[in-house]
Amino acid sequence: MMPARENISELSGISASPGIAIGEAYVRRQDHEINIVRKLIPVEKIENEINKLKKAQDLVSEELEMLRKKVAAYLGAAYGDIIMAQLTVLRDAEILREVRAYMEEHHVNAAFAYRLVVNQYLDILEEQSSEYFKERVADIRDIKRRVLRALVSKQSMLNSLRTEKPIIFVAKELNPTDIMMLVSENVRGFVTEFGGRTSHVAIMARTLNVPMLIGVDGLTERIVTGEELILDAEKGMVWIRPDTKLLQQYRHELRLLQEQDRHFREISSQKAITGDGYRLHLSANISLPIEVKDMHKYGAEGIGLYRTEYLYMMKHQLPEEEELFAEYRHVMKSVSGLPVIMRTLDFGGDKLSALGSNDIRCESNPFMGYRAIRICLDKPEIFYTQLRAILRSSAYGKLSIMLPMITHIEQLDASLDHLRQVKEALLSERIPFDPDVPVGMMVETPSAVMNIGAFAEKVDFLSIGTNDLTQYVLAVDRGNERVSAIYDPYDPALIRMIRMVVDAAKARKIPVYVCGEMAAEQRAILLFLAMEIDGISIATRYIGAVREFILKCEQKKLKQILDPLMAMNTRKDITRFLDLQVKKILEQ
Amino acid sequence: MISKEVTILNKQGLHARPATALVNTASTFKSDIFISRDEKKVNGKSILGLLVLAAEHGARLTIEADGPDEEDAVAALAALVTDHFGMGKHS
Repeated sequence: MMPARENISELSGISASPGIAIGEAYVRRQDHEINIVRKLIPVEKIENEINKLKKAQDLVSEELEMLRKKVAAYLGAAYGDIIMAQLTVLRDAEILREVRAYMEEHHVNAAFAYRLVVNQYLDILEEQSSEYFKERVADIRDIKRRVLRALVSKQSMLNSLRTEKPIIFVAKELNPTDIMMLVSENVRGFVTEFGGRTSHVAIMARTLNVPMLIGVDGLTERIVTGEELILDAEKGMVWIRPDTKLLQQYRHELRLLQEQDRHFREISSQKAITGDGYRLHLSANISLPIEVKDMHKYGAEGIGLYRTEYLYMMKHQLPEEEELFAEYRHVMKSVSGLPVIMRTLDFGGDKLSALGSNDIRCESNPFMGYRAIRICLDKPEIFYTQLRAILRSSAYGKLSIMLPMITHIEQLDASLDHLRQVKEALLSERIPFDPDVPVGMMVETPSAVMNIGAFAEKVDFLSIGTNDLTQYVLAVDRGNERVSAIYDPYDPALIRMIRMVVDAAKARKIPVYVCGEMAAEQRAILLFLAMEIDGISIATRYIGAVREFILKCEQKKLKQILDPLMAMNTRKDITRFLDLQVKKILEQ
Repeated sequence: MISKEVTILNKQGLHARPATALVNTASTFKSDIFISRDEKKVNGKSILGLLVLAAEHGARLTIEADGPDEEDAVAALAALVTDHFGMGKHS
């Protein structure tokens, strides 16, 4: 029986993806919470029980097939493989045989026998220590949960979510495929007990623009399916059973956000040009092909940073050239001729299960360890495959290549050398590509800044990655709460370094862009306009607001703030000064 | 019944993709197929069974088939393993 729960209560968590949602809770229980009891089944009914299990498997199979289609539509056909692996687990002949044998021997119900048999496999697999097996174990557990749910409730989760009302999905934890499956249903937000801000799930929720709150303690015990919730992932709060006053307040806020969104779409065809005619190229950062839609919706002028890691991280094995090519070509075709800057692989070796379990080593300092271009130069076969796929897709539009984590000239030379070899191979195979594809580099290490003149001689553009640059310059891990206050891109050291990079680019007459998170902030935009940066690349959700702000600025006036700004020695002075300028512009 | 010993050549070992390829090939034969490693012996048509073997790069496995098409089955499966499961020599 449901306890009496009429009072409003609130829980707090960490915002993994911003936004607000109002809806009914759907609480996903773990399988051990589903009531499965051992029941004695007479021999003549065993066949009947097995048919129930087969029916449940069919329901799950349908659910997975639908999921596979969604994944393919959202991400590209190559990602469908992830689901195929789950389907193989679902259809495992040995499981059914063992379940049947157990039932015939002990005369028990199918749910009980199925859980027992799968748990035996899970116990063995959990002992394997490799990262890779942990992922597989998660897949198998997921299948078990789906089958048991279908057995007990006689319907799949998706069917029970098909209601008229918007839903906020509540679970202990989620995996990236959960998010993909649920976003296009009626689900408007996610709340979980576990998960990190930088987990795949959080990135996925941000990418798909669905609000998500994580790290909410005691969540699933305090919410019951069907209860009304307000999720405020801006403030990091979730309200259970809100009162009318709070509901009205949030409905009003949601309406304002919708109006603002409509306004941003209306101005999406305007170029981001200041009142006095300075044009700042406004591009989108994307990780998944599906985001090209939002890029068009908010009128970004291209993709300034295409993160290509996803396909590698989602698949647990190295993707083949054809898969990469299919995805990149798809993106090139869907941007309708707008420029795309593709960044080659940029992740830590600790995250790359695709490298194989033998190659995953625990690093005490992963941000300074085996990552990005360092992996690519160490394992040229990985780099070649990606470069081939990128170059081949350059035949379908305006593509540029960007190299991450460059610290010294030899790395840049070696990378350019690999690129030349791939080009020669493609030429001899008569495979079309753009022979003049521009090559640029991310500026995100202090050594790259200090030697920027030499680097600028060898590339066609520079793009400053302020997130990593800030952490390397200030020697601070911003994920570490005890020191994260030191992390600040408005530190005078950073401002001066950005200036150095811009000056080097201007001297060489090559474009310079910024693609860190700060680029979506108003005070940073003033700084970039003052420095005459050529463009910024930001998450699609910020494009509208940033465009509107740029339209209000006067670049010539802003040029005058540069000298006083460069003379400041504390971040407090810099921030305060920039904020004052922002205020002046907004008050006009 | 016939059997043959093989070595896993893939750097990543017998993980999901190669294991799936093995299950799919095994399932095309009528014969019962078993894969064993040391004293562990599993159904060659079961993905979970194969994962339980935890066969890493260099692991020695015995492929065993019993049935009307046992010779073809062992030959096809051994060829699949030797061919890096069709995933290329670098995999």
